[in-house]
Amino acid sequence: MTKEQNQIWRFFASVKLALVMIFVLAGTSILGTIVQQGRPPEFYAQSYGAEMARVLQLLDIVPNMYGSWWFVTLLLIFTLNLIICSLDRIPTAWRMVALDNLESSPERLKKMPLKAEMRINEGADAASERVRQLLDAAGWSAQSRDKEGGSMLFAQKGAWSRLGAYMIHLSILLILLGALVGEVFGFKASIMFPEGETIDYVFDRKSRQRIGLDFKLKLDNFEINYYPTGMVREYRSDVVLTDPGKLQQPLSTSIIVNQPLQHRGITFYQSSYQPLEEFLIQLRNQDTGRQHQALAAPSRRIQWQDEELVFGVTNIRADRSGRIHQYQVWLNSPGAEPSTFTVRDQQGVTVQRPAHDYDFQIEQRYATGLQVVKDPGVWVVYTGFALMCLGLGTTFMVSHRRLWAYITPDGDGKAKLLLCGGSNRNKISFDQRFAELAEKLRRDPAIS
Amino acid sequence: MESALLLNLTTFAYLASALIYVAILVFGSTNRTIGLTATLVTAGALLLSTSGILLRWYEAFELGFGYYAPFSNMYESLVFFAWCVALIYLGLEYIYKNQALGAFAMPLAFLAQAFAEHWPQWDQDLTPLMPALQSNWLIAHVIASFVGYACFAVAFGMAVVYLAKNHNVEKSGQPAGTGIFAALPHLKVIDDVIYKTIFFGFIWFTVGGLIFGAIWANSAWGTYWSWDPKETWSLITWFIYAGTLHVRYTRGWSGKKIAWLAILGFISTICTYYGVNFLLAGLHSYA
Repeated sequence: MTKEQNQIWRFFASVKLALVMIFVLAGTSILGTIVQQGRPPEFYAQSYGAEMARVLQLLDIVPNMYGSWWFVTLLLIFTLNLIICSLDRIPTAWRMVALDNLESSPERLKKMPLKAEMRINEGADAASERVRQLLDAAGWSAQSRDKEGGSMLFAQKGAWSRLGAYMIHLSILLILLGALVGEVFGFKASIMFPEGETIDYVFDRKSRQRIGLDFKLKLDNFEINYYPTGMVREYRSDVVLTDPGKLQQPLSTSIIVNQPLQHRGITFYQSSYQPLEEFLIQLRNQDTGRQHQALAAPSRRIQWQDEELVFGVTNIRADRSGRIHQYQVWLNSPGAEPSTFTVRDQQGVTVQRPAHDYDFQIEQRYATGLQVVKDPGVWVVYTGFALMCLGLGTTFMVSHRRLWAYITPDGDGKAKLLLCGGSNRNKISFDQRFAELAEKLRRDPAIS
Repeated sequence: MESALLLNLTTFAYLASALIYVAILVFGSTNRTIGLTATLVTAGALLLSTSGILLRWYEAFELGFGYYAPFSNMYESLVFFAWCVALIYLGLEYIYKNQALGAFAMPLAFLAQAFAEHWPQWDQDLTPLMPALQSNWLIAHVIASFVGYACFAVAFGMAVVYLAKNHNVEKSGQPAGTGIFAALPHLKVIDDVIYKTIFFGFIWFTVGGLIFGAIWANSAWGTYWSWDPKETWSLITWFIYAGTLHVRYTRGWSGKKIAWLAILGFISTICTYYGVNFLLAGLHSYA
């Protein structure tokens, strides 16, 4: 590496930069929560005055600060910093994981903070085997090596937890990568279409460009259900999905808020609706059972020729959101004055005419608004999430605990045991474990 | 509603608990009976609150709400927040065997509960869940976020203790402090409590607030991140605590500096929790 390269590397490898970036990102992010994002230019001119609105626009704070060149640059620096900072430190952490701890010198062991000395009533070789078995029984499976006239045993737990922090770093990179994949290979679109219609296309949310689908979606019915209190309980689109390439027969299903429909990597979310000034009228001759269906609009005249019926809606009562509650209807057939009556939405009445009586039912038509998303990066993001949980759990709950036992001959066919250990985190809890272990060893009849 | 009565009583129980802990601290009491009373009153308050929350859940079920979870509006979430603070404090008391810290944690639980009960701004009516909230992620997301929030609140309380005691220690020159400060744990212990509660809270907040929130957002709105003010503020809070943990690990910061960061982090937490709902527009305006 040349000197300049080295300097650039050192710059991006510095923790100081990471800390600065973390606090700069936190600080700048506040801006976009105070200044509303994604509103039309008029909104900003009105709320902040023309001058200020221009400044905000010039600084790219509106309409989309989080996608602005400077914020993205900050994110890029942060990402680069995260990568290089981790690459710079992983080798050291890895060395701790892969370290041959049997190479530790007996002198170093004597200086460890946690230690216990014991005497064993047998020769060093037998003693070493005894200690190994005792440690094994206590859950510490040790390796051993002969050393400077004695033998050393070593066991460790959770060595890989030294990598926990880097798992978290990698998880952040995965999440960012997933976001990028979604941005490049996916789309966010929407579609609004009325009951009875079929679509095989959607519109990109930003460019409004038409995006074709490889299957068809028909809206059978849109429905709003209410709680007894009058609050909305559910928005539901009943749809039929037709895709001869993938499905043997059309799939009838519902799209509900929180229960999207997924097909071919594209997900449909219930997001809005539109009451239409159109009504579906169903008529049934009560004597013959013959039925007729017609689509009506206000003050349009409709005929059912076979029965010589003419009818129409003269007036509607709708609420502010456009939902129709009541209709004023007229219906005529030869032999009598026209019948006029009122009927509530989705309810039926019987209309008496000289020739026959008819069931009359009327229902307002709705259009459903669906968000349509293709995001192949979402699984990369979710993998990142899983890794982040794993990394956090590892860092918090697992510590690298190490245990050495050094057995040396002590004359008279007896041996001396030096037990020592340490933990990189949760030291207090390990102190206790260590004391318990030493106690356990001492309970062995040959050890004192 | 029976649950309203229980939750109202909880307020007084938290108040009693807070007062006893403050008394223990101020009078430097070492009386075993008073200490036990404090713990029992707190546990009792927690039990009252738990029954209140569960009963409210049951009442919603009885009213035919169908899917419901008692964490769906500001009132319910504050009640749950107070519950978390009390629980986390009892955990700390058990681990550190020190009751002087209660004087800085339980008043927070009381304040949150009193806010919930008596702030006119939000109503306590049991209202059914709007469609966007009808998801199992509601329970996971809210519970985990609030455990995180409550940890940050406790860390904040401990940071205030730390700074007060530190001031006293510096002024008096006594390493253990004088007067009521002598009854408090050693500065190093408080520092350890601050760091551990922040780390513990950080895990809950990351997993519950950010990750569960993102997964839920993706299943409800089709996007796991939309820079909505609440999302952005949780990210800001996350950055602050992530920064705090990093300065501790890599630059060895402790004591006063960490205490100030704990305070900064909690201010950001309040912005995330309260500020965004009422001061800024966005997707989370319901809770």
